[in-house]
Amino acid sequence: MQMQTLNKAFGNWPVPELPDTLTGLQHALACGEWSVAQALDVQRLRMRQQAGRLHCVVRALAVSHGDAPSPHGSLAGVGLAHKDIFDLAGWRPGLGRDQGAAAPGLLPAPAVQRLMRQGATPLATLAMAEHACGATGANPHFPRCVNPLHADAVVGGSSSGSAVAVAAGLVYGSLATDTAGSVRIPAATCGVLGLKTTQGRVPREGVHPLAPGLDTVGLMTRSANDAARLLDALAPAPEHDKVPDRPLRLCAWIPKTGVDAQVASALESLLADLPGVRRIDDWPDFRAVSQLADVMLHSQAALTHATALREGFAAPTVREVALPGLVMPAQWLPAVQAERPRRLKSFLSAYLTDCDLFLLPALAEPVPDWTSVTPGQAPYEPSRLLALYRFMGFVNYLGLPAIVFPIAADARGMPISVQLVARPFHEHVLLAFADAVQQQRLDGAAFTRRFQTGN
Amino acid sequence: MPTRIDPVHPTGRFDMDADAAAVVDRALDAAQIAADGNERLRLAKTLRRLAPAVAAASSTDLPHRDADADFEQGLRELARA
Repeated sequence: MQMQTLNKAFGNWPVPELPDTLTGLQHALACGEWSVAQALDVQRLRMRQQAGRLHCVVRALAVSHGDAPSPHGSLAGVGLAHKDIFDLAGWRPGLGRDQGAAAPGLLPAPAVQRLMRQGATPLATLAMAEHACGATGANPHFPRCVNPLHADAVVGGSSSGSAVAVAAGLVYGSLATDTAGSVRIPAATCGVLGLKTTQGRVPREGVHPLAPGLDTVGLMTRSANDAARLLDALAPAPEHDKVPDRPLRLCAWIPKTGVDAQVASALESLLADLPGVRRIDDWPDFRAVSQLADVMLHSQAALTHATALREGFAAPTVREVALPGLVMPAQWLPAVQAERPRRLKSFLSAYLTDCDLFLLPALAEPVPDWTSVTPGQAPYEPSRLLALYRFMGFVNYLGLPAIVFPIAADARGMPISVQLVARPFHEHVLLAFADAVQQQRLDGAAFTRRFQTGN
Repeated sequence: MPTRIDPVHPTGRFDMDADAAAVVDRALDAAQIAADGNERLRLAKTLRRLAPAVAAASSTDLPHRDADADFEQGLRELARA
């Protein structure tokens, strides 16, 4: 069925349902239930119908945009859309300032290109906080992204459009970036899986920097299997990224203070189902490592945005992240960089030598309303904003891979997510654990099946 | 890559409890960046908050230009170990 026919046939009525997961779509394509062209038409139509309500799309991409995806790859028929921070063929990204602009001759970022070579079709560019600065995704240049689970709930940032598009079922997955939680925070607020990769695993060429030593390319999907398929297309698993042929061993840290009771209870419930978990009451270095991460973030952001700061055109959110770095003594950045390997080895030695995964909360509190984490709004509470990113930055400083995914619902039905951290380049171990939880708790259905999206 | 903003102080050693506000003023003045009193206070507070972690950094490795690339290489080696 062609696009015009679909439009005529369905108008604003519900379009035919495609499978929830990329894995399910691939099965349907292989069985001949759908053709690649039909599947893409339905995905484009769904995006057209829903995007206006959710404000997650910056720009829909033309069918013929850039290089054509391979029609024979393993991801043929799979619609994706990415944070508007990646170079595309002949188009520079808008970075949360605008819609981007034509840039003849510009090559797509290798991460985008690798997915297209496997057949994935980029359908749109997605909203983000300006220059990837901000844990809420608030952006004065665009309408506020709407959380598909609850219109008053915040969509975290900075990769806000990615989380909304994946949670609402507009696309099967999205590439995004994570410098201090920008994949994991919005994924946790919208009830999808967010994977932050090991520093350097996925190429960052063609991805606009914030703090280059902390920036990583990550992704969001509705299932662990889907994330594994995208990761394999992005960066084939190195030999050591193998899932052990035994039960995974966890080290768990649920801080006694500063974590909401509902969040702690959800994590305890998960742990109760797992044998042999090593529990730690305290991680003494957490505060210091988080502060070292802050120094590095501020310092490198100041370098990235030095001209904008000096010439007075830095956006308020950019200024908030970068200006502290400008006033820091210049010796602080090399000092925290030099300290980094020691802190990494210390963490691995303490928690990830005998254990495969380190478990902790994703968000410290249930998903808040957007007004309570937005400065200038009447109910703004700084502590609720901090609760969004408190457990994020240290992972980037240590360079490790981490994952978040929902494990329970809070009192108003919003997702409560867990976070797990693994040894370098052990993303498939993280995904195997997420898949096991998904199988056990959701019988393999998409994480989003647990929550009402109102679609 | 933009060049590093000029160092505020040749050693970077401050008693931030006492000097943070002066450090902020000097840095902003040097960069000719306007900021009101509230923003300057927030910046000084940030410096005071982060200074102890930097002071406690005990690595004896010498800082070098390619620290981030070397760190990534270290991650790869750790993964293989």
